[in-house]
Parts: sequence; structure tokens; C-alpha cells
Amino acid sequence: MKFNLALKLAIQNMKANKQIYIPFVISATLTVSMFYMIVSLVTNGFVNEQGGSAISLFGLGALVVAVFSFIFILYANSFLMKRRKKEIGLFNILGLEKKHIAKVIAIETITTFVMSLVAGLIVGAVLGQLVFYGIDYVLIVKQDFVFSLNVLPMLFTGVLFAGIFLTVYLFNVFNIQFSNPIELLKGGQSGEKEPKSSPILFILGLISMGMGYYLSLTITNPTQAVVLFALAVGLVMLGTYLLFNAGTIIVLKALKRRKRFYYKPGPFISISGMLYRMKQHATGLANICLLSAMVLITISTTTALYVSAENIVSLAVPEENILSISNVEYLSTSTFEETKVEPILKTVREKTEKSSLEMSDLRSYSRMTLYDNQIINDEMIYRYSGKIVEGEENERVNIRLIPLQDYNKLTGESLTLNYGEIFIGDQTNLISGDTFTIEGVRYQTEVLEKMPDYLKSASPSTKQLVVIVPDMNTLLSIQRTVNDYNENFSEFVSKEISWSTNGSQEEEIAYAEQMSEVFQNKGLDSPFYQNREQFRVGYYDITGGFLFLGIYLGFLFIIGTVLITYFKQVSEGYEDRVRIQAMQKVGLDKKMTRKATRSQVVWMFLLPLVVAIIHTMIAYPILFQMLSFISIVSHPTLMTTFGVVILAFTIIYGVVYQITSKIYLKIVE
Amino acid sequence: MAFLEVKHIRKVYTGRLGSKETIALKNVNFSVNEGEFVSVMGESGSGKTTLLNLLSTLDKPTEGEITLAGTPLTAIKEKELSRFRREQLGFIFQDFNLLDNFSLKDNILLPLVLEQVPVKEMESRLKPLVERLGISQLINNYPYEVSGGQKQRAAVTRALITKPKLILADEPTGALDSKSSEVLMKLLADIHATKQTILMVTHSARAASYSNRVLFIRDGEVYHEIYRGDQTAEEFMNRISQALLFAFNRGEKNEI
Repeated sequence: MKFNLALKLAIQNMKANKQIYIPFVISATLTVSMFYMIVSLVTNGFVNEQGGSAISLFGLGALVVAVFSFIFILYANSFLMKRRKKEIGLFNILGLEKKHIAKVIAIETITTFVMSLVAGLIVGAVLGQLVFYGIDYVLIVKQDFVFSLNVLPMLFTGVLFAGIFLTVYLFNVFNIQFSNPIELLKGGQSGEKEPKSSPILFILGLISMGMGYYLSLTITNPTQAVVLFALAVGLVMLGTYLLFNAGTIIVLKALKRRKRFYYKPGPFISISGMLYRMKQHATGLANICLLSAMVLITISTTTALYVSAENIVSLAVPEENILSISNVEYLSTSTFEETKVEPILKTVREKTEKSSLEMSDLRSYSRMTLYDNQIINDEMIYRYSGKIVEGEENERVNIRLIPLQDYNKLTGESLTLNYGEIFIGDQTNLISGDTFTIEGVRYQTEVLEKMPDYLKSASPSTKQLVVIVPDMNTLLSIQRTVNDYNENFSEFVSKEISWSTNGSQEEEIAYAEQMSEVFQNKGLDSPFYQNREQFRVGYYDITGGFLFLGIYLGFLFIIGTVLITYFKQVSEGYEDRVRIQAMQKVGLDKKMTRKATRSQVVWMFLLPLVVAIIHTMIAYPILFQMLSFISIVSHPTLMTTFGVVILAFTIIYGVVYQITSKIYLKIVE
Repeated sequence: MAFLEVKHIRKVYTGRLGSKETIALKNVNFSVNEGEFVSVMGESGSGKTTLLNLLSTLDKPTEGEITLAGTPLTAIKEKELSRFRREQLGFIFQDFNLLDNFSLKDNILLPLVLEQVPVKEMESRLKPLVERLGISQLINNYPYEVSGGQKQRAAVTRALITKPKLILADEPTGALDSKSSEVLMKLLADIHATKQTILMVTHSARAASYSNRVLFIRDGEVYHEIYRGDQTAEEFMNRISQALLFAFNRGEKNEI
């Protein structure tokens, strides 16, 4: 057979079958672009700067997408071939040898491969660029995101998809080789058996899903969450596949047995239709469900992290500028104020006046922070007291002591304390009774009603107790007592100074750099200066990267979801068409057709979505714990992001479904 | 007035560009009385299928009028058509048109379900019919599990279950072997014996011999009809064959 003839035949075939070739090429194109987008990140300069974990994360992501691409293209091909068997059988009968058919199919496969690859790489490059810009736009702190066009990822994509299409080709040729023309002719319309219900798989699915859910719901600490997360995800995935396959069939059959319900036009057509195609589509539905759950989880957790990053910034650096000076020379309080604090305040005022920024809210207070102590039976155990009890259940606590006068000045309140009383700010219920003993002295405790946020703990994993003591002398006597324990280590009272400045990000950072220098040149002992903008930039350098990666992955998962939904609707449309048309001949009208297909479509739409949302909600506790491991995320924040992301995703998914259902109805009618 | 009246029917198909016209039916006139079993015979392209499509309201005539039990078909509104088909007509197709996703029982019940008949009544109508058609053992099977003859009998049951005024059969034996054909035609004859009006389009003289009148159609016109009268099926078949042969010869002569 001449090549020209084979080429002509191949082109003609593809033209004749364009109604199924176009969806196939579109799907393959998107799959290629999806893979290209993730692979190009592995070689991306920015990702590489993030270090090993980001690269291995994306390596894993690329592997998952590769497996997904393989399964998906094979699935799409099986649908394509089912519809084409008839004409291949006809060619065979008309005298085309099987090796000639193989040649024609080879040309067709190469054509679709090249088309999808080229289009996919272009779409991937453009889409990748757009996503990069989009995320860069959303981020507060601008990053060096560049979606670079490297040859290596393109090559890699090309090789992978060449492999996939080769497999598809061999699979098709193998199939044709071992079937006779008559079988091929009938191939498109061979009846499919009604699926059998398998209670065992159903029960296994329930057990697997139940165990996964149980893990998530009962987890109580972050470390456990990090360790068990993968297991929980695995169990839920397995459970989802099993339940979609076995469960839907069992439920549909049960519905079918209820005669009064079943023998009504809507249920009659839709239940039998769903049952008929459930065998092949249960996996597709489970895929949509899991991809949706992944979208929901990745985007809501990264968004929560992003929102919480601001929390961390404002907790760690509660004011725009913070300066801390320790009284390391044991000067008397008044001497310390005069010789150390006052000069520096003066410098701050002068320097700020010279800069373009305006200063406001200059505040200062004294405090002493004792780190890594224990609280046992409402008594403080100082870390060098020799009474520390080793063991996991005894957490370490930072104790922050502030004289009442300073506290009142700081907050503008006018609290008073009687002799032997203290105020405590106890966020995590470290004290169980109403007394607290510090170095042999038992104080009556009063709870601080309105403790300012900037006195709270900046990290969820460190416990902190704020103690307001009656006066500076009490503070100093505690200092003397604890400093007797260890002669190599001293606790100091420090002066905390804070002030606000208002300016643009660049101005703030310039100001911060200038101030840091000033304080260093002052030759102060242990000066500690922090500027919020400076801290924010540093912090976002780290978290911004991960946020970006999360959103990117979420976006890829959305493409995957759209892809499967689209292809499922188109392929089902062609399959249902024959059935619907036969029913119309025996008196099914258009209105009823719409009604019946709509209820079917709504079920197919809602089922994966609802299950995905349930998965996400059940995953909430374990995700919360995992996030607590790396950041501070509050329940309201996480719940809000979950809610917003679920809502947004439902809308996107709904729009995609609307569009694809229209395509479906058009095909069916 | 006869039960089914077909008056001066003309059907012209216009090409997509409106330039080329194909006359499928020129001028068809005939009527069928209630309880008659009429066969329509003709070669491929004679207009049989067009006629059947017009009778089954799937298509509308260009000119002329069809009335069924006093109702002119052209007067039925588009929205009512499906309902009309469901309630007044029963269909038997050459390729059965059974749905693979329904068991035979559900296939048979489909028109009743669309009609929203109560389940009890469905069951009570189903039972005697499937027994009469000899498929009561098979009704829980699926179409791909039974033979062609059994499928067609299920399709006949589906046509009968709505108690239609008229049964339209399109080459019902076309996809069946001779044995199954014979069984099916005997069943149709039995059904006819219960005063059911049947109009059947067929190629087969043997199938047509079970009816009590045969119309011959050619080039869009009914050119001949013969009545069975008191003849046996065998004798009637011979007459049909002769009529066909005659028509064939005449046609050849005319063309020369």
C-alpha cells in the first residue's frame, strides 16, 4: 500500500469522525499542557531556590500527572475505538489487509499525537505564564516568578506522550489483529451486561473510608497529623473508588426494586440509564470526586496559610517598629532609663523626623521573659532550678513578667492589685486553680480581661503565660532569685519600645535598614530591632513560595476535573443518543427527555461534588493540625477559607457542568 | 367513514438547497376498516417507509389528509404528537428497537410508564399479554440475552400493552429466520383475530399472506389491491406472488 493512499485514507477518516476526534484532540492537548506545566516547574529557577522539598514535591506531582495522563488517554482512546470499530471492520471486509489498517491507524495516531503535543505545549506555555502573572499579582510581596521556557521539560513531555500514544497505538492494533471483521462491524453496539452488585467490595469500601475518616476526626496533635495524613488520604481514596463502584450500583438496584418509585417516567429512564453505564463511569466519577477534593484541599489550605501569614507577621511584629534593650549591667531602674532608654528614644525621634516617614504611637514598657519553664500544680518551675521534670507530658512554658504600672501605661487601663495578687494572661489554661506560686511566693490570680494581641504568643507551638506583678520591685526580686540558680546564666529586665510609621513598602524597608545601622553603631548591649515590613518580606520569601506552589497545583487539578467532566459528557452523549432516540420512537416526548436526562445529569453532577465536599470537611481536623505544625491558623480563618473555596469551586464546577451538559443535550437530541 | 382514511397524500422531499425535489408519494388513497389486517407491499424506494412515517406522525404530508378514527393527524399539535403516538399507535420495528438497559419487562412497560399508569395496572396488563406471546419466562432477561424472535415478540407485547387503536408494523419479519417469522406472523394473525387493526409494511409474500388485504405500492402510488376473502393463507400467498410477478413484468414492459 502506497503511503499517499494511506495518508489520504487517514485524513479522510479523521475528517469523517471529527465529532469524536475533536474532543479527543482537545482532551489530549489539555493533558499535554497540564503535564508540561508541572514538569517545567521542576526545572524552574524559582522552585529550585525553594530547595529540595519543593523539587521533590513537584517531582511527585509530575509523576501523578503522568499516571493520570496515561490512564486518561487510554480511556479516551477506548471510547474512540469503540465508535470506529464498525468502519475498520468495513475496510477489512472491503479488502484492506490488517497491516494496511495498522498503517492507516499509525498515520492517524502520529497526526493526533503531533497536533496534541504542539497545541499542548503552546497552551501550556501560555497558561503557565498567565498563572504565574496571576499569582504574582495576588501576592502582597512580589517575587521573582518567571515561567521559563526550557527545552528540557518540552523534550520530557514529548517523550512521555510519545510513549503514551505508542502504547495506545499498539493496543489498538493488537485489538484489531485479534478480532474478525464481523465482530468489528458489530463492535459499536454490543450489549453491555447489567453490572452485578458486590456487597463485599461495598463493605470494604465502607471500612476503608470509615478508617480514613476516623483517623482524621480523632487526631489531636500536629506531629501525629503529619505522620498519618498520607495513610488517611490513601484509605479515603481507596474507599471512594470502592464505594463509587459498588455503592452506586447497590443503591440504584435498591431504588429499582421499589416499584412505585421506579415505574415513573423520570426515575424509570434515569435510574436504568445510570445503572447501565455505572460500570464504566463509576471510576470516572470517583476521579472527578477525588480531583475536586484535591482542588478544595490544596487551595483552601494554602489560602489559609497565606491569610495566616499575615497573622504571624502581626503577631511576631505587632507594631511597625519594635526595639528591645536589655538592662545587662544591672543598673538601677532610673539610671537605666536615663542613660540608656532616654538617649535611644531621642535618637529614634530625630532619625524618624529626618526620614520621609511620620512617627506615631511611641510606647514603651519593661518586662522580663523567662524561657522554657514548667508549670506543675500551679507552680512555676524555673528551668535552672533543678526541679524540672523530664517527660513529654510536661510542656515548656515561657513566662512574661510585666510590672502593673508599665502595663497600665501601655494599655491605658487603670488596673489595681492588692498585696499578694497578680494578673495573669493565660490563653491556654496553664493554671487550673486561682493561685500561682513563683519561687516560693503564692499569689492570688486575677484574669486579665483585655490583654492586647501583641502580648500574646506568636507561635502556636510555644505556650506562654503573661504575669502582671504589682511593681518593679517584685519583678527585681524574682530576677534575683532565679539568677541565683545558675551563675553562668542571667535573666535581664528589658525595655520594650514600639512605634508606628506610615509609608510605602519601599520606604519602610529603607527606613528599617537605616535604623538597624543606627542602633548597631550606638554600641548598645543586645539591641534588638525589628521592622514589620522587613520581617514580612523575609517571611513571605519562605511562605510565598509554598503558597504559589499550592495554588499552581490546585489550578492543575481544576484542569483535570474540567477535562474528565467534558470528556465524560461527550462520550456519554453519543452512547445515550441511540437509547433516547429509540425511546422517542415509542412516544417519549422532548419535554420528558429533558426532564429525565436532567435528573440524571444533576445526579452525576452532584454526587462527586457532594462527596468531595464531605471529604474536605472530614479532612478539616487533620488539616488543621498539620497547618498548626508550620504556622498559626485559627479556626475562623480556616473555616472561612474552606467555605469560600468550596463555594467558588462549586460555582466553577457548576459552570463547566452547565456548558458540558449543553453539549451533551445537543448530541442526544 | 372508514377507521383509517388516507386521502390524496402527496409527499415531496426538497433538497437542502431547495433546487432538487424528490417525489416520494404521488397520490395515495386508501382506507382501512376497524379490525382489518392490511399489508402494504412494494419494492425498495416505492414509498412504503414514507407512508409509514406519515401514518406514525413522524412526518407530515405535503398535501392530502390522514384521519384516524375521525381525527385528522395534521390537526394534532406538535406537543401532543408524542402523547398521540403513545396512546393511539403501537409500533413494531424491523430492528426491534428494544433498549439494552431495560429488561424485557421494563421494555414492554416503557409506554405505560411514560403514561404514568399505576404499577398494579401495569402488572395486570402485562401478565396475560406475555403469556399469550409465550415470553412469560423471559421477561426478566435483557434484550442481549434472548433470540431475535423473542426480542420481536417482546416488541409486539410493547406495542399491544397500550391497547392502541392501530398497530403499525415495519417489516416485522425482516430480521428474523423463517421459523421465527412464522411464529411471529401466527401471533399477529391471532392478535388480529381479537379485532385489532394492523397495518404492516413488508417485502415478504409469506408474511403478507397472513393479512386479509394487500395493497401494492409503486412509485408513490397504490396501483393494485387484493382481498384474501375465504382463501387459506397458502392460496392467498400464491395470489400475492402472482400479483407481484405481474407487476414486475408490467413494470419492465412499461420501461422498455
